[in-house]
Amino acid sequence: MAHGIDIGYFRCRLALLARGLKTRYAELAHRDFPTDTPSRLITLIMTVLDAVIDKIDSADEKLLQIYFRLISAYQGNLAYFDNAHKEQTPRGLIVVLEGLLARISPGALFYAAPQFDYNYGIATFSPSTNLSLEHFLTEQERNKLPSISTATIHLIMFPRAERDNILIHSVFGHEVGHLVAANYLTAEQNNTEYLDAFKSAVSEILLIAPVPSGVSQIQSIKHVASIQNALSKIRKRAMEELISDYVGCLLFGPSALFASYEIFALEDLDLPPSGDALYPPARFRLRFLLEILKEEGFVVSIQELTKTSSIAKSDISYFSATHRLIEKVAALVGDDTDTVVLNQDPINKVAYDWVNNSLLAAKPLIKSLIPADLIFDVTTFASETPYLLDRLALNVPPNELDVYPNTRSPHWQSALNASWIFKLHASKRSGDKIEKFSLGDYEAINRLCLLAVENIALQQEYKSHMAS
Amino acid sequence: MGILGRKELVAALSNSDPQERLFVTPLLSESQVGPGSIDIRLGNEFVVTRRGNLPYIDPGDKSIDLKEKSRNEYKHHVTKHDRFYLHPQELVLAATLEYFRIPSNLAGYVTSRSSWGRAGLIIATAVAVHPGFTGTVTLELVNVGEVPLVLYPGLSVAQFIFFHCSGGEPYGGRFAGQISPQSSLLKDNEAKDLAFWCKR
Repeated sequence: MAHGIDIGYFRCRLALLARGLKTRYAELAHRDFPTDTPSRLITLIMTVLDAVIDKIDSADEKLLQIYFRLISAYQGNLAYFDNAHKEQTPRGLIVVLEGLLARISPGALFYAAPQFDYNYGIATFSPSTNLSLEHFLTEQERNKLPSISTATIHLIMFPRAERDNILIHSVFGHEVGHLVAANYLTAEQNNTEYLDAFKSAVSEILLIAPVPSGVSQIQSIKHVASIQNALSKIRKRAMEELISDYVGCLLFGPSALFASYEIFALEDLDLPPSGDALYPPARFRLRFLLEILKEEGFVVSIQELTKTSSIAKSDISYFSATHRLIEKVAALVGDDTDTVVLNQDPINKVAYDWVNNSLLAAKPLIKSLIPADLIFDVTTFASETPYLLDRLALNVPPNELDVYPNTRSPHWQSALNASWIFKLHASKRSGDKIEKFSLGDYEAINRLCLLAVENIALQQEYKSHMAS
Repeated sequence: MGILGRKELVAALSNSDPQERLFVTPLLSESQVGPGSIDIRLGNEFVVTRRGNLPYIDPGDKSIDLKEKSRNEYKHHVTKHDRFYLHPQELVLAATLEYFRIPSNLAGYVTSRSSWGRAGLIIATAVAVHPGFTGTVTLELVNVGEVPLVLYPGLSVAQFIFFHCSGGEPYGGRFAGQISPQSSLLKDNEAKDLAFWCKR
């Protein structure tokens, strides 16, 4: 070996490392996961590790070095399974997400895991490439692997501390939206309209920030190329995030705005695209989310619903606080400080002008890409949430409409949105008095909401089973 | 005090005043409402005690009392169609699938269904459910038979018998609003009472 280590010793060392790693995966394999994807992936990894252990005995020095790097990389994947079991995930919601993804990304598998970063995210991968199987195994060996080795897998990650905050997981809709956005943007790249708009945007930037006079032709080309590169990245990231917000709103209704507001409100709302992430300013996204809710009729509906009274005989409509929050967001996004910041940079300015135009054209097409029955419409919202709010006020999970024996299941989005509206209402009746929520009351809403989402799925499945 | 028969159970479940209504949700099948009780199902969560680290439970010793028992427990979540094995002489806690809101004019108790009782399954040893209670009911499952029993979520293992109650108040106890099986927690006044008897 390069460092003078005996090859026999090193083979033994690597075999023990692979066995140790396999044992760690075996320990995780018996956890209760909300979907069967993690168990299947773990079985695959253990199969590959077995094959590697067999090969180590005859590996030369170069192969041993490769195996060491790959086994080390496999260890990093433990983090994606370690807390993906039911007790560390909002399990009922994960099952709902699995159903959503099965419709939006047919054939793909899915699981969710908490992460230590305070961030939500989605990663799409295939074990055949991400686990570097071609480095470990021959084609013949790879063909014998479990079918999951070639599957497409979506991993949704959420901040670990938010596990029990079921309501904030309304941003899962945004993560699902990334899949729709990716498809849309890939298709768009081949579109001549896109290429024309790109050229025109570059020309516009060059009018504001022309190539400095007196530079060489190479420097001039470099200048234009850097503009093209930055424009492309900024515009793509903005489109990804905003299309995902649109899909999130269509799937989850107003709860998508409420959850985003909670996440963004304590950040700098006007931070322009920066670093590798190049996220749009949070104020820009809140403005866009509010626009969607207006377009879909939710804002008017919430205003109308403030006139309704509640079963709990409260004088104040449950919807008043929600209406106030929407007015607060409207005031927040009425301030155009984010646009001022964007306009200070010619590339940002042109990119976001282009984004605004693109979104207008993109929305109908994106909506048509989502199965109609998955879209949470305002009629359902207005007819189901008031009843579910009455149940929440009685400390009963919002998983049924009407009264026995005529009970029926609402949409799970209605349960989620009703829970948000009840949370924003933030007060409860205690005897003749109205009391403000305690922290425990907020936690109770999350528990009731999770139970409702799980029960709605169960009720529908049971009904369908009994009718078959 | 009379036990509610089917007609009264239906009336309680369909009471037009939600404050006075008996909520049992999800009530998946109408056949669960029987002549004198409502059949209830096993939920998905089981609380199992790690015996190896728990030498004994002594309410007189704060370091190993009923509250501390929960440190030696873990939750096992069983999905539909999956099995949970209850071995002879084993005690586990489980929640009902159904969530209850009991109006202040009713109370009840939970008892085994005879078919399971004959197989050795005892489902509740502390059976009283107070007026005004909200939440899932924690079942204490014990296998007193000779062979392991396989349990599945959704199995109808118990029945809830209701009776009229006068002078009931909304329940605000430590188990209110629970959706998972819970071990016992001492109330402040109970801790003081215990200190009198056990020199805690």
